Amino acid sequence: MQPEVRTYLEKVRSHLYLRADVEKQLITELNSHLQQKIDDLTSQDCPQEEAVRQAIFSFGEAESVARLLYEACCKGSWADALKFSLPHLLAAVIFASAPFHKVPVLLPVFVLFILVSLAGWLHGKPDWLYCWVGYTLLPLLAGCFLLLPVTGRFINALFGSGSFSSWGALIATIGYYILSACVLLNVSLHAIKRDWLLASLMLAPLPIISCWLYHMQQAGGFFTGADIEELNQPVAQALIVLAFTAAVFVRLRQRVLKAGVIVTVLMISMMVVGQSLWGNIGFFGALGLSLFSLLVFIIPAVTNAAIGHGEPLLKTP
Amino acid sequence: MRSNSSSLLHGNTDMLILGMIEELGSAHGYQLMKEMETRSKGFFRLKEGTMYPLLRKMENEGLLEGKWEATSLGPERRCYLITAKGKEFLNFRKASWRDFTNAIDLVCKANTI
Repeated sequence: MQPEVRTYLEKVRSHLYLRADVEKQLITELNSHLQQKIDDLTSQDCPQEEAVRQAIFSFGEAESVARLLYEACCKGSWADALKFSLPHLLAAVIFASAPFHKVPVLLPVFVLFILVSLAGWLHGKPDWLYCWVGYTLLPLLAGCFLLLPVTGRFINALFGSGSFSSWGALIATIGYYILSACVLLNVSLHAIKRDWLLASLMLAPLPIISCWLYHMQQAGGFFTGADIEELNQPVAQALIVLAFTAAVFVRLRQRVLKAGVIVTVLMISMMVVGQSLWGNIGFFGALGLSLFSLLVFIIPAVTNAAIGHGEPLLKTP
Repeated sequence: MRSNSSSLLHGNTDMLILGMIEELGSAHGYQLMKEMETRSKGFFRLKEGTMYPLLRKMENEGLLEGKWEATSLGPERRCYLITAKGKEFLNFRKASWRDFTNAIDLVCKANTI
């Protein structure tokens, strides 16, 4: 393959954001077309260099070809839409029925999330997998909030007047935070390599549930009782909206629309959840929560710009 | 493609591609591109990169079936065959197109009288 053709096809691939096997097929097909065109042109006495240049030029701009190919291949079926929505709906049911002080109810649900994620991971990593994986990260996040008092006491001792003696607990807490960050980072990087928009969708429930976890922690802990059960309802409602968003995401073809849907829904959901949890949060409170929710969109986008999408298909000789 | 043929072709490319594949039995993207240009005497000249999104879209919609074909020289080629659903769709589009052109003819004739 000519270096110019390789560069062009690699540029197309880097903008495809499809599954690796689909991308490989498409690139093979485009390469076949370009090679035939070059052969035709050279058989008409066109110099090789000029033939390559003409073949690439007549194929069109790489980004635009990739965008059209993505739009042609990305639309999922209604069954896919259901698979994307199901984890959000399941989580919404959990929040609506509020069994957080009943560990025997929560455990099977969490095991289900883990099993579905594992099954997806071992069977070709379909796109719907990432929505399920997002929820398997929640216990890690919950652990971080549970351990907040330990770090809180240490910070108080450091900057205030109190004394601190639980050094073992502090070291265990820091270890847990590092481990959680590593797991979150690894999973997120994997999702971003596949498609940063999918990674955003995967991470979308985290800021909403983080607000709830923080509020729960402030209200006295997770397994304490029913006083704050009514506060689960706005989270449940936000997760139902997220389920519809995931279904719309699957059925849309244009990436800009997919991104727009995620950002809009996430910002509005966060403001509604914040308002319900903390009362009148005001303009700056709403703005802060919106910006916080945008992190799950901006971080994958920026990371993608730095590390790129997928693995290069075409190795240099 | 000539300047004003772009808008005329818009929305009808799928019909042209399906029609050619039905006639040829099976065809790959490059072949379809050349056939379209030759048959239309250069009137329809698509930007080549737009052919494959169309083929993939029609394949995903079940109008075409793609198969890989080994070649003696160069990389594998993907050939497309029309499905029963594709034939049905093509007949529907041809009938709509005939109705449309008949209506245009009737209006234009009426204007010239």
